[in-house]
Amino acid sequence: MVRDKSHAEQIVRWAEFVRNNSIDKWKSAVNLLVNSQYDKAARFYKNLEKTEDGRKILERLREERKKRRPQKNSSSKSI
Amino acid sequence: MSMIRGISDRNVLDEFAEEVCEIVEKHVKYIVVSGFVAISHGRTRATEDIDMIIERIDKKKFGELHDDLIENDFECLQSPKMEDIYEYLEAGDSIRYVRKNTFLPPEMEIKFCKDKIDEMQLKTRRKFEFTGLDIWFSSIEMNVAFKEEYLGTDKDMEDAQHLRIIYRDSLDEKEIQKIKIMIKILRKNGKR
Repeated sequence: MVRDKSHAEQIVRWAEFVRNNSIDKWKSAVNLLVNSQYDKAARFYKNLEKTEDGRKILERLREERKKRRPQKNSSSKSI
Repeated sequence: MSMIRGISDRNVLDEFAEEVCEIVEKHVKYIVVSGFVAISHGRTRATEDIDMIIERIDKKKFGELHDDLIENDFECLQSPKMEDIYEYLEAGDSIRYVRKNTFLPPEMEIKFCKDKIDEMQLKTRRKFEFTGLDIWFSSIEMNVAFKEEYLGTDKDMEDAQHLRIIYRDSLDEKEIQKIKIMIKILRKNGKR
């Protein structure tokens, strides 16, 4: 089920735009979105590095991420 | 094929995926599945990981792949030891590689081919000129079937809808239904 009508309409509108235009037209929008999300996360982590508390949080996050068990093949988000 | 483009045409995910895939391809047959398939076809959403299925290989061959990834500045989040990582794979777990010295996404989540459907996915793998990427993907029919029949979250249903629109004229609906039946039979313990 899609979330709401306007969201559903936007999914269709965008997919039609992608379908009907060359990659040069739609790729820049996708790149902007993807890159900006990663840039924002990187900036957030960089800011954390500036303070003692932030560095502790970062270290904790780093350890948590490394400790995370591998996911089973049947995980909900994987094919 | 118009797959040779400038770096500026590629986003962070594209660059990461192509770098890993280029290395993996030298050692084993692979496919990229799920979210990144939709994103590389223009779906405007982000993801932290790219899902990859590889053929089952023995420890020696996997060791060569692992070493190649390490030499090219990637690391496995679960363990630095190849033997441990291989055990995870053998147990049906997925393993995650990221760029070395960072715990930040994107990450490549790799798992072994586990059943007839995965074998079929590998057998029918495709490169899509539409994406501009030099990457082997599972077929659109496979991705639509899995997203609609097995995964089923809002995000997955929207991914499927997006792909259905992009490939409106060429999608094999009978094939999708066939795959959905296989999913019901082989992945009964799945989410839906």
